[in-house]
Amino acid sequence: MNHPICIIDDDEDIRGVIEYALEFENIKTISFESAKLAEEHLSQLSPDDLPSLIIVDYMMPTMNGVEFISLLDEKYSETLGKIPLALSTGFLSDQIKIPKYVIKLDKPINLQDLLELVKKYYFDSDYVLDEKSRTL
Amino acid sequence: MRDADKYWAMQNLKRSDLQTEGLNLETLMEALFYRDEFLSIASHELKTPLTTMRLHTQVFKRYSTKDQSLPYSKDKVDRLVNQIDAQTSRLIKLVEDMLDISRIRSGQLCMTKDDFNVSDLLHDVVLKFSLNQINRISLKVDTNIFLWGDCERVAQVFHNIINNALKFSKDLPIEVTLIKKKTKISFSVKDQGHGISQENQKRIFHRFQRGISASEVSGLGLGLYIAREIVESHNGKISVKSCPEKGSTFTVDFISKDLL
Ligand SMILES: Nc1ncnc2c1ncn2[C@@H]1O[C@H](COP(=O)(O)OP(=O)(O)OP(=O)(O)O)[C@@H](O)[C@H]1O
Ligand SMILES: [Mg+2]
Repeated sequence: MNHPICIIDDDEDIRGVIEYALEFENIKTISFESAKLAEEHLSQLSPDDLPSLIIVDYMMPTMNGVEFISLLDEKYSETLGKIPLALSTGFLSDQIKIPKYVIKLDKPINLQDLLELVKKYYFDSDYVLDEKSRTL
Repeated sequence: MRDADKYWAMQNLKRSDLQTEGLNLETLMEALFYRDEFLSIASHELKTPLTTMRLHTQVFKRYSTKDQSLPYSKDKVDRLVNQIDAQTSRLIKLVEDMLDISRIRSGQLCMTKDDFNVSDLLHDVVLKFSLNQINRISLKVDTNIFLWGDCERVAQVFHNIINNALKFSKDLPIEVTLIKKKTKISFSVKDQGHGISQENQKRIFHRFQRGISASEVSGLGLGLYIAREIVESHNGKISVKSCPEKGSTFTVDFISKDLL
């Protein structure tokens, strides 16, 4: 069984269209409208049920994508922190530092890029990040 | 402006360069900061609707070139089309706002004035909101009030203020009133949102000024600036009363034609 792709974006339409695009490729998804809800849900899952990739939006209320990424690193480094991560964003100022291992998915998202990224992790779900690459 | 951001902007400029030019550093820094912030918010605002439209179109394309038909129900098609239509409107509004700003700057925001029924106009503006939003609006409108002005521009003022009240008060109801007292026509919108601090009440009528970060509630900080320009070119006045955490009331006072 493949592990789902997790989508975190506060824009309902964007969550919808990504789920929809992946559904046609027979890829399962779970999505959340906020980083907080995602944390609550994901932290309850057993290791066998974790998603194979998390795609998180940068610009969101309360907790933005970059804050979510640091939270996983700090609080869940042994569990959720090992899941590959993609940050989707339309604009990132140079002043915002993101860890090197984070994959960037530029908005407006291109279907080809999305599918390539997702398939790589979805169909090879034993993939766990190399601990060494998780540095700034 | 957040201190940390201001600090950053400061770091990037050479103090000495400016002082030799005799320019006010603080003012320039602020201008630079707001320009950068504007660009960042604008690109986010533009790219969000573009993402939805792009992905939908590309999914269609992918399947039509594969000669596979998409298993769409009529319901799904309706939803998709409505979504794309709404996103297009969002983009158009954004571009219109930006054009208005440049028209205001160059003194070319033209008014085509006429005598029109503002009471009817307000009803029309309210009806253009979504059903969910309309359900939150309680309307108290005196009938057949007439105003001398540009009805499309006045509609824009009504729209911007009502839209803010809806946007900044989550799911709570809002009150919209239009009354005429002697020669004064007052339009006001009251909400129970998070309110606006004393300090921000002064800033928000200027362009690009927002009282909340873009990731909390989206917007470019143009709506009230445009509204104020329009109101002033009708010899009217726009004002706000607000108590943080309790809500805000925006009021626009026009003078009726009988007195002009
Ligand atoms: N009803 C309200 N309640 C609380 N804050 C408000 C309200 N109306 C306006 N504001 C504050 O004033 C700021 C400026 O409002 P304005 O309408 O000019 O810009 P915006 O709504 O942020 O963006 P835009 O109108 O360009 O989409 C807002 O960002 C918000 O902080
Ligand atoms: Mg506004």
